[in-house]
This record gives sequence, C-alpha cells and structure tokens, in this order.
Amino acid sequence: MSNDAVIECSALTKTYKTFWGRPSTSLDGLDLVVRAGETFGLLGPNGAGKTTSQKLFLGLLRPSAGSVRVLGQSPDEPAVRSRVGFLPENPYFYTYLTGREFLEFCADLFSMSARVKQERVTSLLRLVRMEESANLQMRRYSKGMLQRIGIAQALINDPELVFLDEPTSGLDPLGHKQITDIILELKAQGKTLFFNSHVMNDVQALCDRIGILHRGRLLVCGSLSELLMPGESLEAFFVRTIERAELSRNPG
Amino acid sequence: MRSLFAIARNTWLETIRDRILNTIVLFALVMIAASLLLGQLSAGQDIKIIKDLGLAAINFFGVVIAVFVGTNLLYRELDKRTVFVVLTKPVSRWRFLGGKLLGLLATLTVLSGAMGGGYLLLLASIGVKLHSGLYIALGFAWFELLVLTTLTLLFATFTTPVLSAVYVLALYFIGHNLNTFRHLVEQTIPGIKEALLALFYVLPNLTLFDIKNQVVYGFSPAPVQIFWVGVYAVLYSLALYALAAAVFARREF
Repeated sequence: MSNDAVIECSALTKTYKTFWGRPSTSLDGLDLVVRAGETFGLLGPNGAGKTTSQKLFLGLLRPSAGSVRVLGQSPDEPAVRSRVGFLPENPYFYTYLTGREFLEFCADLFSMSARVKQERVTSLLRLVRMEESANLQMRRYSKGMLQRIGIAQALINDPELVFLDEPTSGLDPLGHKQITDIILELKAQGKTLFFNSHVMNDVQALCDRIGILHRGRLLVCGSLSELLMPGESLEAFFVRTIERAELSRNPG
Repeated sequence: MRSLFAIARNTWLETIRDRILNTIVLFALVMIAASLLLGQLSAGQDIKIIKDLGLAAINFFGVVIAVFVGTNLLYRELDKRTVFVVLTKPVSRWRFLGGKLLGLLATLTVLSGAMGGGYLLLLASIGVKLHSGLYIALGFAWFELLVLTTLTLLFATFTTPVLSAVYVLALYFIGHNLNTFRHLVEQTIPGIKEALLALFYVLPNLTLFDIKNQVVYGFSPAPVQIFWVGVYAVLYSLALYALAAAVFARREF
C-alpha cells in the first residue's frame, strides 16, 4: 500500500445475480487510490456504481473480485470503522428520537465516556447549527435539518476519513450553503473526504481530484486542472466523457 | 458492551414510542378483564374460566406482540436504511442483532409484566388466592416469548415480515402440538422414524411452557421442572440467536 493512501482498491468488482440467476456487474475492475487530506469526488450517472463503491469501502458489501483497503486495513475490521464517518444518501434516521438523542446514541456506538459524549454532541450541534432544534423529534425535521444532523453523526468520532453520499442534493439554497460551508471547514481541518455527487458545481468547487464512473467502469481519474480544457466547465467535461464512452460502446 | 446496550435502549425506545403497541396492550388488558364477565356466565366454573382465559389472553397477546414487533424491527432498519448508520460504526453484526434482541425482550418483559400484573390484580380483587403456580405460569409464558422472539429474529434476518410471521406462527402451532407429532413418529417405520425423531428434537417444544391446565386446578410444577424448562428456553434461544447472527453476518446491504 502507498504510504499516504487512505483508500486503495485494485480490480475491485461487484457482481450481483439477477432474479433469473444471470450475473449483473455493478462495479467492474475499479483501480483507485485516494490520499490523506484529499477531497475526492466520484461522479457518474445513476446506476454507474458510485454507491456500490462506497458500500464496498465501508464493508456494507463484499467484493466479488479484487481487493480494497481502507486506512491500511480491510473495511470489515471494526477498528477501521472507528476512524471513518459516513453520511448516507437521503438520510432517514430514527424519527422517534430527538436530534440530541440520536447523536448520543451514535456516540455510545463508539463507547465514549459520558463527559466526552456530551462535549462532542454539544460541539457538533453548534457546528451544524442545530442547537435550537436538538430536542425536537427528527420526524419534524426538514430535509436540510436531516442532512445537517446526518453530517453531525458522521463526525461524532472525529474521523480521519469521511464518506458523503450526495450531501447537497435536493437542498434549498440556504441548506445547500450550510452544508458546503461545513464541508469546506472539514477540508480546512485536513480531513480526507470522499463524496459521490451529481451536483457538478459543488464537485468543481470542493474537490481536489475526481473520477467518473460509467456502467461500473472508471473512465477518467485526475485533478480538475489535468482533466478540464481551459475554460471548460466540469459539467461540459462530464457530458463529453459519458457521450464518448457511449459512442465507443455503440459506434453505429 | 456499551454499544450493545445503546442498541438495546434504542430498540426499546422504538417499540415503546410505537402507538400501535400501546393499543395492543390496552386491548389485552380489556380481554383479561372480559374473562371476568365470561366467568360469571359459567355457573360453578367461574374461577377456573377466569384463570384460564386470563392466562390464554396473556399468552396470545404476548405472541402477537413478539411476532408483530419482532418481524418489523429488523425490516424497518433495512427498509429505512438506518442499519447503514449503525453498521458503518465499530459495531459487529452479532452485537447489532444482540442489541435488537435485548431491546425487544425488555419491551416484552415490561408488557408481559403489565399484563401479568393486571391479571393477578383482577384475581386478587375477586378474592382468588394467588398460589405459586400462577406466578410460575406467567414465568413460563415469558420463556415461551423468549423462544418465539429469537425465532422471529432468525427469520427476520433473511425474509420479509409477512413470511417471517407466517413461519413463526406455523412453528407456534406445531410447537404446541409436538406431543401429537411424537406419538405419530412412534408409529412410523424404522429409517423414517429416526429422521422424524431428529426433527422432533429440533422443533421448538412449546408444550413445555403450557401449564395452564395444571395451574387452573391449583397445581404447581416441581422446582426441577421449572429448572429444566428454563434451561431449555435459554439454550434453545441461544442456539437460534447464534444461527441468526451467522445468517446476518453473511448479509450484504
């Protein structure tokens, strides 16, 4: 493994069996290295394999072939997960809990002492600006509030590596700004961020490097300055890359 | 261990804040009280009817809650994807499942306690002497819930709530008629007999927990019977839990 590689996967493949027993490949031979302190954005159309990749990195799925190491270990190791944070797409948490109860529950999953737990929960509620709504049941939260409490739970253990699955999609402009501000703050703290997103402006503004997945294959990977032509937007580059891949697949 | 108890507490909160559960318990208490009316309709048999119906109502509603809540508990975690939040933290899958089981058992213990307390109060209020057999019958009903809850959890690890409920209820009826099954096995030809006998020992023997007929006539089970029934319930549940944890460990999300 490379010295500062936080995520390293080689020929990572995930194949499912369809109802009729036929194999369907969701991720096909992914080779990727994400380094410490980097903000990496994985882009791709729906069904490209972005969420599958994240789930493999988090141990929620197991590879059909290839290997994956996160922080130098298998993602199945609980020790790895104690150094990682995760915000799922469209987070839907335990709605019968208040925001504070939920964060306390997450802190207990890390076996934090009562004092550390209270300090951590209070500082995170402040960070995501949820102090006033902390004692409301989460069933009464808006999407933006759920997203913010979701980020707070992802940071409860002060992780080195944070996975964010579509952190800004579907938010109103104010909620969007609040989330991007938090991500910028995490970036400034030197955390390694790995996120999946459809929102090209965010990726362009936040990421050091990007990868584009299409039909389970990584088409390109590199820094924005390496990949984009002068004056080209990320959106234009993304469309061009996908269209070229589709054309080479169906030349007619 | 803190994470185990955190998951158990969260499960407890989930079930206890569920209004449907409160409705079922209220209905159960009404049913227990209704046994008083039915008892008055049967001349000379009133105390026996009240004792019998009350215990049957506690058992029935306990099973309904265990199956209804148990089948949905894990499904909801998967359907709402809250399981992602827990399993991406340093929590092993067997601990997650153990926490869910403990939380559900805590709920069932409190609810069984409430129903059992209501039942004993009702009997005391009409002047029935509360003998030890009644308390033991309530304890046995709890042992049965322990087995059924773990069985529900096992099915919930690999199938839908509806199918889980069907399987558990089928095993509930088989488990309560296992003596008939044993009798039939004795009459079959050698070869098949051994296989069916093995099945007899694998199936949950719920007849062990059903002492209503002894208790309503004032009998109490012997201490050695109580001990072995307890051992059976705990060991059978541990085996089911180990199987559930093995299935859950292989699952992908």
